[in-house]
Order: sequence, then structure tokens, then C-alpha cells
Amino acid sequence: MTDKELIEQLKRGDLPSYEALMERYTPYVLAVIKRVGKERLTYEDLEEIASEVFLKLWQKRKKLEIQAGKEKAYIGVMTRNETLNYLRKCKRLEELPLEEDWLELSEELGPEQQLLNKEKRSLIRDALEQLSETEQTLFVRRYFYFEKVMDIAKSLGMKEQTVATKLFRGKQKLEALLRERGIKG
Amino acid sequence: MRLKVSNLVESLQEEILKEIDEVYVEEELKLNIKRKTLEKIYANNESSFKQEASKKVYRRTTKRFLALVAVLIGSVGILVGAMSVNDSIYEWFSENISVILPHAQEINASVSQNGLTVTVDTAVAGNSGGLILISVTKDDGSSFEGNEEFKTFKVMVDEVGSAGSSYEWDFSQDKKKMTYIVNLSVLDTLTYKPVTLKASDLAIVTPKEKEVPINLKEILQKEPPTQDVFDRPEGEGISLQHPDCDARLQAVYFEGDKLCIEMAYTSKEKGLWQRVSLVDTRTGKLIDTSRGSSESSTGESNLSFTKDIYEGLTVADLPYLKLMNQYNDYEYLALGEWELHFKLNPNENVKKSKRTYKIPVEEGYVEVNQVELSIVGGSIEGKAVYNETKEGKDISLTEDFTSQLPIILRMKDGTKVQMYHYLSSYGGDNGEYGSYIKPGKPWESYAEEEKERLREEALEKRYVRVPGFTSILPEQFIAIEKVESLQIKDVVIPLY
Repeated sequence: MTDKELIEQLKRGDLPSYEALMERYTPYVLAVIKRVGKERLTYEDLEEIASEVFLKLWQKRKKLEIQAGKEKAYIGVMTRNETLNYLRKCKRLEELPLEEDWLELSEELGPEQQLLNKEKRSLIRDALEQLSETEQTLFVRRYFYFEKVMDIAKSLGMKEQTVATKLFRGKQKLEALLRERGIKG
Repeated sequence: MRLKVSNLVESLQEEILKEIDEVYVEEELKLNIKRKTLEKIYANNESSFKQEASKKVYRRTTKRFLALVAVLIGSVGILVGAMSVNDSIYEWFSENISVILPHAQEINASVSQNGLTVTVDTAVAGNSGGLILISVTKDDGSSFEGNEEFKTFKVMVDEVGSAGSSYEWDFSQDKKKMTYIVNLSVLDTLTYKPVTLKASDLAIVTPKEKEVPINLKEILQKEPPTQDVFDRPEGEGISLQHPDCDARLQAVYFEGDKLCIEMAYTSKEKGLWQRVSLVDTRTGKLIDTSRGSSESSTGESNLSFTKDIYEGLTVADLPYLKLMNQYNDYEYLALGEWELHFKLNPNENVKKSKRTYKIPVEEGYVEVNQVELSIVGGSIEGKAVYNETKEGKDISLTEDFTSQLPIILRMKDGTKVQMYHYLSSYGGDNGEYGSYIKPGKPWESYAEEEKERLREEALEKRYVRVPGFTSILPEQFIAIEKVESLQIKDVVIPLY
């Protein structure tokens, strides 16, 4: 059965299909949890988070509207969110300082331009792709996986200060790139 | 305007997450995740599996108040049971756990003595049969060696006619728990009937064999014995001494080119055995018994008889044949008897026929009055109505009906499941019969190579069990909510 067929069956409350989805996606779900949680998670945490992901999938089954071919992405996003929530709950997630996370653009966007619709996503993707490979890696690790600067530096064999500087410069570059692409005053 | 970089990056999360490669997951972790998830679902009242199932039944039975009441009672009972079923059920049925859990009921009857605790944990059962999980642990918390077993192990159902039971056992990965699984089938209602478990003497069992100093040529009889085995005087024959089981060689004779060896065994307790086998000293190999080998046993006296048939032999071969006595040797670890009494609750999550159906047979027809199907198997009850012939009624037709007619389970999605008769009884001249059916094929119907493959497969799958072929577990579990009908011969019987 394809993922789509399994999801369709799950929506009808079909238990074997649910079980088959669990079987199929456990390796991926665990991979995402491990990537997001890294050394912040124990073996028991992995079990707990993965079971929460599958529980949510069951609870939401009747309202699942997943575009064909996007099943993996859907489950991946659910898993990341669940992992971050878990880390927050256990106070094992160091939130990004606001000043580090904020990107200042000169003017307000109109409500119709509020991020993040499809076009904006494309613009942002385009802007992010303009960053160097190192900058992209750092951005993903810092702003998507919320890894500590110290840990990123250690794993990449860089100085902490170098990572911080690269992130700062990357932010400036991103700001400029976004302005160029119309997200500007 | 201010934007969060984390939000910007998050807008690309699908692409980022897609890059992550799957990791290898150990079976144990997979199992634990599945188990935890299902436990959470059960603990969550608004979304139990059971409610899904009962809603479906409700739609079909809105006009039948009584049926609805039965369904609701059933669902409450099962849900309560399923919420706290024992670990063993996950260990044995991990791959089908969501199908099985709604049918599981916790028993939790326990007895401790002589350093061992025996607990009847859980049952997965319909109203006339099912699987019972029984765990054994050491009171001091230590591990088993992994080669222990009870010298005798019996599960008996009182107040029913015919009952069949078989069991196997295995150890948990840390060897701190030993689990017996019993497959019980009755031709009656099993629920609320007293069930007794008796286990005695934990031991390490070593199969042994010794040569029987008998010259087959000297004791060869010219003719087969005229007296039926059951009518022979007890104690007749040559005794092959053994402390647990008296084996007597009763007859050695030829039927054409077939050498027949008849034995009588009287064991102190049921389950203790010894067997004789034949070795060709020219090749040093065991000679296979042909399929004509038969075994029968009497209920009370632990007396059983076998007739082993060896093909392709002549009198000239006899001096080269050696009779070997195979038996078990016991190294006792804990002596005593562990006895438990328990009852199974009814499982209303079954499918039933609504009226009588007639199956045409050569000499008349057979009525099927009731079919009831559960997750592990089902019962068929009815009566054969034969045309009167000059010879009178031929009761063997009922036997043929219950053992030979093809039975197919038809599922709503169009798939079919082959069923076979596991246990049957006949009421004599009135033509009444009862049959217990299971999914799959009888063991005898598999070719030798296939049996060997299935045995190996079953061994590989030890511990994390799947309902593949083992001698005890059903070949597959029946997803009850997907069952549409049962087809016997050409007659389709809808199940509700």
C-alpha cells in the first residue's frame, strides 16, 4: 500500500493501516527526533516522543488532509514540533535570544504580505540559497534545530566566536537579500 | 518591520527535514514505541480503538435493541481489560498488537511457592477458544538459564464436552521471565467455565536415548494381532523399563512390505513420554515412519498406543535394525505443583450467523445452525439430515462434513482466508455435530520441505513473536470488523 492509501485507511480508523504506518515511519520519526534532540535526549525520551507523534497522528486521523507525496514531510514536521515541545517541557531547550532571532526590516508589511504564503516561501528559499553553504548549515543548525553556538562550533571544529560572527553576517546578508526580493519598505 | 529568522528558516522545514535519512531501529525499540502509543490510545477515552469498532456495529443494529446492549456491554468489558494487559502480550504479538488488543482480557491469577510465581496474565479469546498467556518468574528476581520447563503442564476446562489444548513456551530477553502460551479450543462455551492450570516440577530436560536389547526377528509375529489395542490386557507386552513411563512393545509384524510396531505407554502423568524408533545399523540412520503411524490415548489412565509403520522393509532387514528408546531426562530445579483456577470473560466482539443454512451433501444435507467467529477461530454447530437409505443413516458423512468440506472466510475487501477444522464432535445417530475452525491449514497438509522451512522460520522468530506458523499460534489473527461471511462448500453464510 502506498502512503496515501495508508493515510486514507487511517482516516477511516483502520487499525492495521495505522500499524503499518507506524512500522514504516518509525525509522524516519526516530531520525528526526535524534536530529532535533541530539544528545539532549535519552533512549526513553526517544520512545516517549515517537509514541506522542504516532498518538497525535491517530487523534488527528479524521481531519488529516495531506497532499499526495507529502506524507513524509507532514510526519517530519509533526515530529520536529513534538520534539521541540518535549525539550521545552523538560527545560532542555535553550530558546533563541530575541535580539539574535529578530531580523529588522525597515517597513511594515501589509496584512496581505504577512509571511509565510507560498510566494514568500519561494522568495525566502531563494534568499537563503544565496547564502554560502557554511552559512546555510549554520542557519539551519542554529535557527531550525536550536543548537547552541558552542555545540555547533565544537562539532564543526570552529571557534565559538567565528560561528557567532558568521551567523551575524549571514543575518545581515539575508536582510539585504530579502529587501532585494521585495520584502522591504 | 521585524521578522524572526527562525520563522524564515522554518518555512523551509519540509525541505530540511526531507534531507534526514532514516535510521536503523532495533526491534525492541520499535516494539516499545508501538506499545507505548497503543497504551496511550487506550488510556485516552475519547479515541479508543474499541469505540471505533462499536460504532460500526451500532449502525448495523439500531433496530435491534438487544443486540446493541450486548455490543455495549462487550465493548466496556474488553476496553477495561485491554487497558492494562500484561507485558507478555506485546512480546508475543508485537506485529499484530492493534488487532489483538481489543480482544485481550487481563486475568492476573497468581500462585507463589517454592521460589516460583506462576501467573495467568492475559487471554486473547473468543467464546469457544483462544490463547492464554502464563508467565513464570523467580521470586528472588534472578534469571532462568533458558532451558528450563515444567515437567508437566496442563490447562483443563471443566464443564465442557470436547476440549483441545496445546502449549509452547519461551523466555524474555533478559531471561527473567518464562512465558507459556496455551491454545485452548472447546466445542462449547468457554466463558465463565472453570479453567484449571496445573504445572509441576521445574526442570532442565535433556532428551536421551538407549538401545533396546531386543532381537526383532525373534519376536516377529506371523500375523497382526486380532485383538484391538484397547481390549488388550493392561501390562501385556515386553516392558522397556523407565522411571516415568512404562513402555511395552506389544506387537511386531509385517503387513505386506510394511513393518508394523505397536507400543503401549503408561505414563505416571500425562505429558511424560518416551518413544521407540528404528535405526538401520548399516547406515546408522533413523528410519522414517510412514504416515500410517497412529496414536490414540485413553482419557483417565494415561495409557496411549502407537502403531508405527515402516515401509520398504523385509524380514531379511530385521537383523540390521536396532530399536532405540527415546526419553527425557529431568534435572529438577524446583519441585512442587503450581495450581491456579480462573475463568474467561465473554467477548462480544464476535461475528455470528443469523439463521440456519443448508449445505447439500451426497446423501442429503447438513444444517448449519450457528456460526460464531472470533479473532482466533470459530465454532460451527448444526445437524446432518440424511436421506434414509437401505443401510440406514451413515454417520461418517457428518464426519466428512466437519473434516473435509472446504471452508473459506470472506473479508469485506474481497480477500479470502482458508480455514480448517481443528476439533470436531458428532452426536451420533441424531446427526448433531460441532466443529472448531481456525485460520490456516492443518499441519499435516504441509509438504515435508515446507514444514521444515516453517519450523526454521518459527525458530528464527523466537521471542518477538509473529503469528507465523508455529504449532501453537494461529497462522493469522482474524480482523473481526473486516469479516463479511463464511463460505462452506458453495454456501455463503453472512456473518453479523
